[in-house]
Amino acid sequence: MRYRIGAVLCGLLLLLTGCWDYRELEFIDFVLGIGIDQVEPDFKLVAEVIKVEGVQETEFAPEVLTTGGRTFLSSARSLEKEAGIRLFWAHAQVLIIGEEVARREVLPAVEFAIRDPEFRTSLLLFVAKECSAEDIFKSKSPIANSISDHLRNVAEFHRRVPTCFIQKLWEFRQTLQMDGISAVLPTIRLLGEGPDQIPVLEGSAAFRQGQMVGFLDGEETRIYSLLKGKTDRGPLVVEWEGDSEKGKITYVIRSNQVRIKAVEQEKRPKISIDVELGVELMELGSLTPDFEDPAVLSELERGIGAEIEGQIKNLITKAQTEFKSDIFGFGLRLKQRIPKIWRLYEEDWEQVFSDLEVDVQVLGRLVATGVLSKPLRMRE
Amino acid sequence: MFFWRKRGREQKRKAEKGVSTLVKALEENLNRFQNEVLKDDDFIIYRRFSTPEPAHFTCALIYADNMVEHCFLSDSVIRPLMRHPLPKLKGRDLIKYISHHVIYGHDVDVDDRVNNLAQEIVSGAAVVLVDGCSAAIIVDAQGWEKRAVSEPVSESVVRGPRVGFTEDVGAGAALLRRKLKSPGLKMKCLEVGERTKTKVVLAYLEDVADPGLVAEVRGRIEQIKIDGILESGYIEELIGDSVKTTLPTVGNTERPDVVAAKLLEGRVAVLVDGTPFALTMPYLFMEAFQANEDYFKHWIGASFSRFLRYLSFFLTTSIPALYLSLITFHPRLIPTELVLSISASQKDVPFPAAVEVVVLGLMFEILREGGVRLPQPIGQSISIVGAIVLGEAAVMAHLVSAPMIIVIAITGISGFVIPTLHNTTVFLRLFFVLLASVLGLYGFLLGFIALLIHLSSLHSFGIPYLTSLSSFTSQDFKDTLIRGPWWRMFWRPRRIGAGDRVRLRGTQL
Repeated sequence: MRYRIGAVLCGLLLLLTGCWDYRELEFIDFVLGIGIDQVEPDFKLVAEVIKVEGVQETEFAPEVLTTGGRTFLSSARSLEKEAGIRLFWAHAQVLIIGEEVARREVLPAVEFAIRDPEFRTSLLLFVAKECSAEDIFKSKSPIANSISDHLRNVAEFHRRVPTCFIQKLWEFRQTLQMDGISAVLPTIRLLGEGPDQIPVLEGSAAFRQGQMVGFLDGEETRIYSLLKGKTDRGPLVVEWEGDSEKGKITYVIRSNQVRIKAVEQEKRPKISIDVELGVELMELGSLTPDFEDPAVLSELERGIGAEIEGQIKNLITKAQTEFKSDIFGFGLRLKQRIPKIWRLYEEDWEQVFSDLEVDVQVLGRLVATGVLSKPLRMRE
Repeated sequence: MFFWRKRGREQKRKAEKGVSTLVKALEENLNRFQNEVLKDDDFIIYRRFSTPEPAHFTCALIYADNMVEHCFLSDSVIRPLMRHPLPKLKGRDLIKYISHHVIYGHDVDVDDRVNNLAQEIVSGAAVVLVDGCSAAIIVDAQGWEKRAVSEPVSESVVRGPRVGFTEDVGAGAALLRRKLKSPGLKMKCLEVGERTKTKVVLAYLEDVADPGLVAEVRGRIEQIKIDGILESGYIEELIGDSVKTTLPTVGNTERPDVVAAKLLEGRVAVLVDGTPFALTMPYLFMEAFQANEDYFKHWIGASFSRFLRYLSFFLTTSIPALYLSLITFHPRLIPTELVLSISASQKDVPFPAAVEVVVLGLMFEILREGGVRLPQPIGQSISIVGAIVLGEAAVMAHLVSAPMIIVIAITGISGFVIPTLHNTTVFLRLFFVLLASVLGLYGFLLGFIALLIHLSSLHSFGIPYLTSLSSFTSQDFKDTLIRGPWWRMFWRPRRIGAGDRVRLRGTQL
């Protein structure tokens, strides 16, 4: 009897299956990149599929397939029908949203990927700037085999080239679902002319209520990601004017501490931002500021602070006036800190955000100067 | 020797069972042996001779050729009988006198049952018959060609004693006694097999082993009713706990040091005549992962070896099933680059992956089986054929994929790390592969759970099979997953050394 019950229970387990199925590896084709474009009135699906060729010396040739359909799934199915292959989406690495789609409504371009368990939540999201997703996939990657690989590689080391703000599917989804914060996605544009165009990952697209409202350029994106508390290994170039010399000093950010405070001032919310940057001196060129002198050191540090502070202020003003979109999450911060005030302005937060008073203070600190502790001086 | 005392009763019993006894006339007795009991056996030697004056008796010596030590027989039995003047005695008194005063043999007995005597003769004893006496003297004169003690082939070590048991059970018992010079070491001789009369030695440490266990083993051996025991494997199968599992519940070894170690832990050993393999019991699952060398080398290195053995067990049973389920059910779990190259290698292979796994696995087993019993020079050609034909050419011909060859190779090599479980791993592997080919990782996991349930249900001589592995106390841990340092092994293994739990005395516990 005991065995019989055990056997029945084990049998029942078979009914609790998830979504998997037996399929031979040789009969499936891997999609590495997905693109969504707008074609009136429906949308167009672009898929970069990897084709495996040769046995002894394997070659992976990417192929871009496109088809139109009323929804994602109907396009995907007709793609499979037309190409006579079975597509496997779980290894897709990038999802590129055409600019048209992003301007109109971004949700239909990502909802299927969030819902379907086959897609990875680590899918990298991009917006094609001034072109369609298909154009991106049909461009030429300088080194990597496929555009998807290329984009993923660039995203891997984006900390060294901090002109984009990498978003994974799950991060984007979280931002979309939160109050008081708007989403930002990195943009890709094409560089060059004709068939040798290469995709460049630079800048980002700002959204409001799921619609793209404008672009940030590379520098602005860098400032944006600093405000998000990220550090990068990109160059920070600051103008320097000494007693008898004038030029550029290059730093690299070592540490970045951002404190965004929401305070109440006469029933109005007010945001104050404190940024503390630790920077390392990387290049002086022929300049000779004597940074062992405390006065010169604080002069240098003030220069760094002022440079970043100005850029932050410009960015905030741009978001307030041009986008009217709270991409920094000030509303979220207010909701977390002073929910009472948030509730007052929740309804028309975008309007409130546009007129929000924001204090910015940036403190730069020079923490290292490479292996030289003094400027390099030429002796006659 | 108690023959005389219980004579009346003995005779009555003999009469009842129809046991034939000797008569007084020598020629009639000899005739009995020559033409009835030991008929048609030309290797039985009948040597007639006479004792010296004044008492002139005709005697006969019967023995099996090549089963006895000839020098000993001529020097210690025939010579004294031919030289020593015998007193005027008759019948049993004479026999008693001869066995006490004349024969130099170290093991001398008296009997009068014809069948018993015949049994003794074929076992390598010499029987002396004297005319006019209805009893015979049995002189133990066993002596035959023996293999010298040598290093065991099946369990070689880098560091450790190089002595192995031989086919001679007496020598084996002596080897064991040399390891454990304690009066507490008990070695009971039993005889199993109606026709082979195989000598079986039950060895245990009286003050350490659980008396219940000893009685149980002895009881099981005594219950055996079989015509012959040619190897300890017969006994292993006849007294083992579970017949429905391929997992060993009785251990076997060729090494006296291993047997001694098991006895010290409170286990019972069974030595069988005619084979160098001794049995130890109870045998628990973790013993398959212990090697004698673990206890001779540094404990950290030994622990690492032990970890490798557990890992190999997992690899050899599970790698094909895991690989199969990953590439057929869960390709999303494999990194993109890897899945692409596996996909490329699978592209032109005509068979489904499941078929590939099973067929290649079988081919490997065939290669292994072929290599086992081949002489060394031919054995190498097997591996060349295996490596080149199966490995290289099959991939070139797109019959199998290259990653599959790697998987099977890892499986096979890991299997060699735990040879004692070979019977089990072969079937487990197949079981897991079948489940994985139907249900993927989910099936593999179901199979693994089934294995755990099965392991938990087994017992060896009353001890749960997973003892010491199913809990995590420090004293259990010390000799299972790792080999603890000797100065930390205070206790004998749990539930086995019932008599005396303490192994390390005089240390602060």
